[in-house]
Amino acid sequence: MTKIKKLIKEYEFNGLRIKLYDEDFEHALSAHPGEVTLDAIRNCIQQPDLVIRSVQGKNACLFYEMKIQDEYFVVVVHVTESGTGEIKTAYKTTYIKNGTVLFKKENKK
Amino acid sequence: MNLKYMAEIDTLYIYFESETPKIMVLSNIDKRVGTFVDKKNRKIICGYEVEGASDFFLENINKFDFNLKQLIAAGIFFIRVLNGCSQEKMATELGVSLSSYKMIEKAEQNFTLDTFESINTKFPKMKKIVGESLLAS
Repeated sequence: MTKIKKLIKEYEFNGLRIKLYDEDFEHALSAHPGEVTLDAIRNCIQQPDLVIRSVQGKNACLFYEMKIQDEYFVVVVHVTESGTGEIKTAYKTTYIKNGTVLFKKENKK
Repeated sequence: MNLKYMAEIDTLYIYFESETPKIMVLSNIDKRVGTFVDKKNRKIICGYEVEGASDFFLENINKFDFNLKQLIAAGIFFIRVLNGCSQEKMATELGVSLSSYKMIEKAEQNFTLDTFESINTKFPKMKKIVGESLLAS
């Protein structure tokens, strides 16, 4: 029997509605305990430093928030054909992937 | 070992059992791969993210830092999800219980020769992957 995903949160960025479901949050949480939180995801989605469309990941947009030098929190969002976003996972990374820049925050101190 | 394939974005996540904080670093395998390492000791590999996995992963599985159990777990898991098979069906195909099959995908199962032979017979791709791995070691 297929498990029905439960919507936990819904965010908005530049007109894009982005949904977070329990199954995807649990995956991120179990893989990165203590680092992935609802607050961290919300902050990154609503106030990213950079958003790119991934070259390799099909229909994936990556939201980056710089934490310290060479450390970013990234949220991976699947953008559907209907124009909504679905958060797939989140983690910390040392680098920004190649891709088309969709948004870049200016004057980051 | 925990494996999750996100078909919508064609991305595979592989995590070895580890409770330590992780961070992704550039991988020397390919630009499609990110390596999760222990944040405090970056020599310890905790997992991988593989983008564009459907075209890349099985062809390059021997480039990843897997032991034999992990290699079989990752390979058989990905063959299963690409074919849209359930774990129940795979267990039946291999002639093992569902719980044993689940342990194979977690790289926690010690193989009997019969199971190993069954994997190689039913899934020729796995035979090739394991053969290449053994030759390289």
